Amino acid sequence: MKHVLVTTGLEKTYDSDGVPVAALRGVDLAVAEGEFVSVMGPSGCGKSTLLHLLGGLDRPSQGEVHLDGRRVDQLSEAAWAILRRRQVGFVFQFFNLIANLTVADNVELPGLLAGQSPREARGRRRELLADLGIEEVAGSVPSRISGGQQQRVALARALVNHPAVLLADEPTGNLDTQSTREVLELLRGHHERGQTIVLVTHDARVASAADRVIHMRDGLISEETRLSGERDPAALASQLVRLEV
Amino acid sequence: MTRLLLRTAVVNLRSRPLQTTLVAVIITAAAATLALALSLRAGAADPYNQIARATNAADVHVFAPSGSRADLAALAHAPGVRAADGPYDVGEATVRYGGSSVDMPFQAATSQRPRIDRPRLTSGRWLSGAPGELVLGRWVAQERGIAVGDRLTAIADGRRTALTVVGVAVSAGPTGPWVTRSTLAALAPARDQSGRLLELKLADRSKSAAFVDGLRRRYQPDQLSADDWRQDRQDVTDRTSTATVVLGSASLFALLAVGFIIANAITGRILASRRDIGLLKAAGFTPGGVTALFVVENLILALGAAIVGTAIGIALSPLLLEPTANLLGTATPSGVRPVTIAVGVLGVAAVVCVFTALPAWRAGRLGVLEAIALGRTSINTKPSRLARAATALRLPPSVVLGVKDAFASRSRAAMTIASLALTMATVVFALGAEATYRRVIHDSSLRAKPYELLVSTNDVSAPRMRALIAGEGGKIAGTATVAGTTASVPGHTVDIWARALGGDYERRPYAIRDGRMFAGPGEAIVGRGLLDALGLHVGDRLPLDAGGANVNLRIVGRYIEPDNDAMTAIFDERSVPPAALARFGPKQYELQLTDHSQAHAVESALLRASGGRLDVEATEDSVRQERDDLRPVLYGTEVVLLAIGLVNLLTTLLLGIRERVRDFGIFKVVGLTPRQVLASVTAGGTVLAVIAVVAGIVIGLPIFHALVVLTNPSDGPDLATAPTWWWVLLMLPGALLFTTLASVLPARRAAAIKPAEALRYE
Amino acid sequence: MKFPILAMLASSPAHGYELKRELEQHFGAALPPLNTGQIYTALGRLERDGFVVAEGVAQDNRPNKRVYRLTDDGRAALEDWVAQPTPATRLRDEFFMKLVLAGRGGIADPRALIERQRGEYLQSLRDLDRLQAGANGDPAQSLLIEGAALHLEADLKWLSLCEERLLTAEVSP
Repeated sequence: MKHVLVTTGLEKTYDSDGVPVAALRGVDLAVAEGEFVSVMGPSGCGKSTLLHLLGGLDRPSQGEVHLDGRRVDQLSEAAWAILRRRQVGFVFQFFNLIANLTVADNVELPGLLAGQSPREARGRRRELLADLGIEEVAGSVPSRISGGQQQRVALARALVNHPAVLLADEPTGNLDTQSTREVLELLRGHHERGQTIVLVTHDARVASAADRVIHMRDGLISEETRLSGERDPAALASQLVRLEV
Repeated sequence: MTRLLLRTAVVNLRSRPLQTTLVAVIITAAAATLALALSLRAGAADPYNQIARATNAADVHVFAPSGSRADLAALAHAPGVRAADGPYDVGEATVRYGGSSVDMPFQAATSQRPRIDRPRLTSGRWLSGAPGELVLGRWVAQERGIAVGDRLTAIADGRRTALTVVGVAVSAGPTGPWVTRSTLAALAPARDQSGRLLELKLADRSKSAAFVDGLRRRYQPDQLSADDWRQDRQDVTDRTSTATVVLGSASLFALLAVGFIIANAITGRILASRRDIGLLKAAGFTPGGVTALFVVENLILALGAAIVGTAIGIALSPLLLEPTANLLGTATPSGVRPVTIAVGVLGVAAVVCVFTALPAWRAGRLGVLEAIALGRTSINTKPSRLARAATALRLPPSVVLGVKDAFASRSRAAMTIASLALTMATVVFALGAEATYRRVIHDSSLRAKPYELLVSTNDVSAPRMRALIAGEGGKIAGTATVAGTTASVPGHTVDIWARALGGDYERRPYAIRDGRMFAGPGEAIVGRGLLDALGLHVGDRLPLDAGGANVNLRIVGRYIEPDNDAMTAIFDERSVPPAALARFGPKQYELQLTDHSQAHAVESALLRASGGRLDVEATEDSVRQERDDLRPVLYGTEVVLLAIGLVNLLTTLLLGIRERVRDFGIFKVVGLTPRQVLASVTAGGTVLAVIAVVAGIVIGLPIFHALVVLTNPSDGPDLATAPTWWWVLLMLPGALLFTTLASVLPARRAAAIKPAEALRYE
Repeated sequence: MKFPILAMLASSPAHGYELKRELEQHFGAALPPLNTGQIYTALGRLERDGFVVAEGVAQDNRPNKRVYRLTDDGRAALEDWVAQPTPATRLRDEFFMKLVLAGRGGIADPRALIERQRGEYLQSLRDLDRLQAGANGDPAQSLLIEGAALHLEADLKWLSLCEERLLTAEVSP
């Protein structure tokens, strides 16, 4: 099985007013191609830091990161930026759309950066927005649309270049139940079409959409659960939701 | 409440040290410029009054030529006279210095300075009483480039006297240099122009004209003549009008630019605090309270900066005031004036108050949630046209992003452009002035001096003169003679200046704007001032009473004449009967050279050949001098304004980046390299600057034109020269350099933003 | 089975097969499969207690069918039931027993126990989501699934709490 993302002995230590604080203390993780991995854990366990290191937003203090078979933890900031354009899509809790660009501009930007012509970028953007059911907000600025719509736009922006891996940091943390379900559905849909996803969340329900749930404590992976989709639904029904009369 | 406001304000200021420092720097620089501009205005305004105040100027000068029997001493006690000084011996002598020579009206003095028209020393010292010492008027010293310690030679009746300049002084009167009585007697024995001078102060200065008229009725001109202070004022104003307007408008520009720059910085600061305003209101501040808080906060900053800035401005003001005073021939005024300090500090404070209160009040009225939500950026629903154009032009995405960012907050973009455009307009102004001077220097016809050298002489005969000129042979392309006099037009009260040309004047390229050059006797070309004053047009008849004869002329053309208010007429000397022509002023020779760069060489050759008996003046020199004197003032102001503009743009960009740290984080997440972030910030700044340059050129040119016309109503429209196009083109790369400088720090800051940190917190 | 049947009869009288069908309609897969015998047993008991009365209705070519109707007593009993607040769901205490006892007796590592249990809960959550996808908008079942999911999320939180309290207590005796 091919691994898209591999980390070995990943460590990250921050300096907090002169006191070193360990956020990650040696994380070994391998994400297979097409796999959907959730990372759970209490706040401060280092799960967001892990995600940032995976996407090159920050630099590990120790250890290695391999993306698509290539060692990337020592890349320069610029090299990472260029790598991210094609290989890594990011989604965040607070959507993080660029406030003064329209939805269309936000989605087209990574394509343009990756060297697509404006026409190509526009075509791909139309396709994705239609797929996500939000083509009607293409001309709006982010602040004028709902949170759920913003997150879908962010998802479109992250997926526009068919990245090798989608990194999602609490993507539903700021959404209502309905939007959470929709976004989760979209993630699941893209996963089914082969998208590799690493998702950080504290929401067990969201995490359970993954193939594998990783638990982190104090900067270490404390446990790992593989989830299967193999159980018989009828049997499940009798076991989980049966009224007792 | 007040204490709470003060405490909150101080905390706010300290919480953003860089922003606070930058705004403080801008206000300090602005206040310094303001003080400089005010000093400059004060220094350039009404030079006559400045001189008069500094020198206890005379209301009336009374002159009795040698041999007059008039009793000057008795006049000191005439009715209406409050004080008198003199009489002093005066006499004219020719002074040679370097290669040139000039006639100067010397005045005798003791080791005590005269009480009335008391020369105010600007350098050196007053006469000690020793022979051979000389104190020179500042205007002449400046014009001729003579300084304390220089040695001059005075020539009269072929005798030479060596003189040493011991001091330079300012005076409102018509006489000076000053020498001791014995020196004067040695160098200017009794002649036509020598005599005695009495200075009078009247009880009522406004009655001076009547007093002078009374004297003129009682005495023949060969016994006594008198002028009043109005004549002095006219002389000073004539000689300084261009400089006054140029300096006045430069300082006005500076004041406007300063206002805009402060407004821009402060408004930007408040727009950047919109989110805080929402939080303050959530904490219970009323809109009024919010406004008060920001006013207090910015006032603390502004007052401190204004005081420091004004002090700096006053300390620097001699740098501008010294050349200004040189230029105007005034005493150097002091920069420390209560008005400057008060206007500097209070003016800055007032501008800060207004530009704090308005946006703060508007922001204070936003809903709490709206303010918190909008805090990061003001929201435009449609992208700016420029950004769309940038996209359409297929510029790199980072550049397009930068352009969009620059216009994310329209009001800030507009303010920045306005203040930069004003700065750029001053650059256009300076370039225009430079171009106009260059054109006037190179094209002597625009000065109505279509020749390179003007030769005058008192004691060289006409044949000898012709021989001297012939001696220079091929270097001289043409020689015309000119004799001038005041003339009157029957039926009109105004006097005009008439010039009768002889010799080969036909090829003289006067700058004819209407009609044609006169072709022979009976025809004249005139200045616009004459046409306007007499209500005449090209084609009309012009009867003159000149040299005691009636001269009938027809106006065949109008030419550009910068002197004598353009109330001038030029015609063939054969239009005037020879007897009348003899009563015109002494004949001068206008030499046209084959190569105008040879002017100084020919000048020295003529002086050598004549044994120093000629007075040769290169026509370029006076204009060149004027330009050289204006340059430091104009460019000094320019440099200060550009520097402020730089800090201003820098602050705007920094504020924008501070507000949008998160957006820059996202830029990096979606794949902008640090270099691209750098490019995007620089591109944004560049677009603002380029628009400002274009706007500055567009508004600067007409303003410059209008100011030149104001300086010289008669011929300004013909003189005003647009800056050389390649200089204007150079403004674009200049602006790029400027923006790059301004963007370096903000862009580096943006490029250094760590996405993981920028995106961690909401 | 008593009160659901009374509730079904509150709107209109019905015979046994109709009752079964209606119950299935309302609860779908959430109820265990019902057999007709169960229903008739329950109805017989209700008739005996005087909560319902049965009337024979003649049918062509078939034996009479019995149509059941709610009595006043039956209505009163039903209203009483509805009016009573329902006690909270019982805590699933079997795992807790295992956890406490396993640690105490050294039978198993409580940490492994928790981990295994968490895996089970997460898998259940995932299963519920699959179930939800298959519920095809059946409102009763869908609500039931959400309820079960929320219970599971609470269980997971409780598990984390157990982990924190028990394991830290274990580390620092």
